Amino acid sequence: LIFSSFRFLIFFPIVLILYYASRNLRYRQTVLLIASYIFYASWDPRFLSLIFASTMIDYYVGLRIPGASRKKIWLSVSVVANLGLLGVFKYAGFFVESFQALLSSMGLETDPIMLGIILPVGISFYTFQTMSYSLDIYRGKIEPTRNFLEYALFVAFFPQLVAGPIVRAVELLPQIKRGVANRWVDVAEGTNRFLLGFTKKVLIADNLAPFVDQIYADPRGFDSATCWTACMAFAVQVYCDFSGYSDMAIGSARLLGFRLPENFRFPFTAMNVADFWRRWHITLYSFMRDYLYIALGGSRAKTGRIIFNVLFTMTLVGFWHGANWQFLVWGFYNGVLIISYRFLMIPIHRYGGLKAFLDSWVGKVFRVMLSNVLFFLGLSFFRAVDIGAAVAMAVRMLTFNADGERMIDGLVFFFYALVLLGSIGSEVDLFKRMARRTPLPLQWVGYTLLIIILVLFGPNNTQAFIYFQF
Amino acid sequence: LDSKPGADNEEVLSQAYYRDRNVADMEDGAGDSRIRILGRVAVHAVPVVLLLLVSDLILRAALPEKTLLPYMQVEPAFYKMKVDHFSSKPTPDVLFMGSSRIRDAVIPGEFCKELSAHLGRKTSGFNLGLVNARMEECLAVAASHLPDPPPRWVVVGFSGTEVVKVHEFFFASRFLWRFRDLWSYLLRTDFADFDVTNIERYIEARICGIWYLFDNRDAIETYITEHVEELLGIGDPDWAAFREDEKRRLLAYALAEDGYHPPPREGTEGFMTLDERIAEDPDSIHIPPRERAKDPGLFNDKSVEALGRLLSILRGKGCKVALVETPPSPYLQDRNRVLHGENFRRWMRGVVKDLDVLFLAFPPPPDPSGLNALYRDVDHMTSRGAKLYTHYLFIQLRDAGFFEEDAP
Repeated sequence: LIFSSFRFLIFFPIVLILYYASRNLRYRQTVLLIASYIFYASWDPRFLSLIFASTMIDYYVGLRIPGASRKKIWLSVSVVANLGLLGVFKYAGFFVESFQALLSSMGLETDPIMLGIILPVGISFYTFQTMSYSLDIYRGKIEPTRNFLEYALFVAFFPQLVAGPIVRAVELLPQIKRGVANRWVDVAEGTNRFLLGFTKKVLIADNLAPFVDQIYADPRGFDSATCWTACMAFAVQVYCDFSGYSDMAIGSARLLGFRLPENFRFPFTAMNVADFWRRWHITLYSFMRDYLYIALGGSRAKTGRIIFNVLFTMTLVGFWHGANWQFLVWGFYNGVLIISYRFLMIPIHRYGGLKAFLDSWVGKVFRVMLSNVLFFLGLSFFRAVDIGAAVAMAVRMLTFNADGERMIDGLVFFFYALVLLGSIGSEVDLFKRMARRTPLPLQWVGYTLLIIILVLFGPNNTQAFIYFQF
Repeated sequence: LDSKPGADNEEVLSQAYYRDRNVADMEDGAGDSRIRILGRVAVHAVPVVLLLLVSDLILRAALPEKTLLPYMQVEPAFYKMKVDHFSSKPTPDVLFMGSSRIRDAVIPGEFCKELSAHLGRKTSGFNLGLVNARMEECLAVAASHLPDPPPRWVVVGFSGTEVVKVHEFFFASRFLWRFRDLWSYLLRTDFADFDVTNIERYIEARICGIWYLFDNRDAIETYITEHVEELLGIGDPDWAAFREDEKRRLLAYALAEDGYHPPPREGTEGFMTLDERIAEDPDSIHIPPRERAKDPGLFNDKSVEALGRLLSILRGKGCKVALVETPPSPYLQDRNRVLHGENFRRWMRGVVKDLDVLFLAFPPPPDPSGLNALYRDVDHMTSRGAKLYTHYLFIQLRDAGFFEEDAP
């Protein structure tokens, strides 16, 4: 049941009809919970037991924390259980293989252990969500809910279940508890948001996928220009894929009357890497920042400790994406960039001329381009099939090697420009103002053309969203 | 230097955008009645649907399917255009059904020349071999796409590949099923074999039936892209030449008068038969994944049931049916001795006893290696191979009494 699949386009209208059939709160909650479990089971019914276990644990822990004399023990139960689930299903294979590789490097050969554990879809998202519920109760930010149906729906709410946004209890539970009114504005904006995400995914991300796959499969065979183009293509692909998914999640929730937090804010217009991370996968970044980085002491510590806090947090942000060295390196790389940026700013502030240049129009464009290029470079690790291929890609990019085949796809630059211009236009609210001024008949023609373009130029086979694997 | 710092700007990892507001507190005023919402949905949706309808009508008139045929992929070209082409023609006396193996193995014109001479009257035939067709595709053709009156003689050609894993199919539900075929599938399929994708494909096909743009999206996209490239002069000339060849082939394949067209590029420079390719570079010989299955359990009761159902549908319509082996190359028979060759023939001989139907096997001669020269790849015959196979097929059917009026 991928949002952009034919199957979802049948499933969702049925859910909408059943949902809007009655205003009764319990009825609506029940419809959504059943729909959510069907949605999740469509990947593999066995995974339902995991989400149910995670739900049960935090529901119970949530009830026990407020009155407990040792609240930390109950909080630990939640953290250990959720991280345990993640550890077993997501990271066990990585740790076993890495340990065996370590032994092997020391000359101790062991029989390879193949765990063969399947990664349940969405586990990284809903375990964080349930954990945040217990953490927020522990911190006194929210009261536990006694209604299991409401809590189960908070965990399993299908629009954001498998690839986020990572929603905190304080954001979604109140909406589930009080129910949401039927509003035309929700239907209209939800539909527009869903269509926007669908367009990003089907028209841009899926059309870039074949080019990206081809280059990343063996970057050693291509020259530097091609590798840079592939990294740019993958940046646009992963952005349109994931922000497209988030748009569809937010849109479909909005069609049901619910509001989900934003997950992106035009990251390609960021002026530095720190700013980039405030705009990219916002709900994960803020989760890690609030629950880990701040808990570690944040920036209210000595320089060495601050550097450790940032690097540790960003490395775990990378590791959250997947159990391999590439993601660890990618997270660490972003941590180094953020730290470097922070310490680079100190001398820059002292030289007024340089600061004036960077604040000028040309300087801002330079900063945007630099932050984009640094992000592209990091993506050589994010996308590569293994650490060797990632290093090969990065080396190819940085050595400006003309050896190898050159394969430049003009579509990449077109889509990059489109995303950049779209982001700038959205930052200045251009499109909303245009939409408000557009007469109704022109809107009808616009929607018709969009549907025709999506049907014609969307790839034949819908590709799964990249973030499902996380 | 941060133009829009987030909260906690003192922090190196400062707060992300949008986190200063709780979405749970964002309300957009009072609710609307469901009738009002439905009314406003209609105001927006109905004109869009009408515009889509109008654009669809224009598209149908401007780019009819025959114009789009050269731009179609192989499967829609066969399953839509060839089947439609067959249905629009007068009923042939003999129909040949099966996969691309029989498509490239039987020349109806040659066959009917001999049949006409044998019967002393003019006869006609049609080769309805469809790429990647399996039992389910044959069932759907037999149940829902035969003309009325149906052909007198139906020859179903296959080897092991087409009769094993009967629940694994793709094109029947997308292109051939009518409602009765779907219903029949639902009634006869075990839960373990049931695949909801087939229902989706059926629904997609029904939508395709009314939405021309959606039905022909790939062909229209190719049509637009190629014409724009040609207009702007940005296309690759080699690719354009290749496409011209492909277009001609697709037209000839799908709209051949008797359903047969000589295989692609045969007789052109660089064309090699299978035995030549084996001699030159044996590693270049591709064996499709479906031909690699070697589990003896693949031939089971479900295959027998499917064959029985096919016979029952065809006989119910008054057709005389013969099942014939359309063998893949000796090279492939040697590499997969489960799906093909003697194992398949032995199984079929057992099956036909129960089904009471004529089955013709085509065992290779004692030294079959030379027969690879009659194939262009592991599965498909050259036109020379087709001529020979067609001739021997006729001889065997005639000698078995298939064309006698009192034959079973």
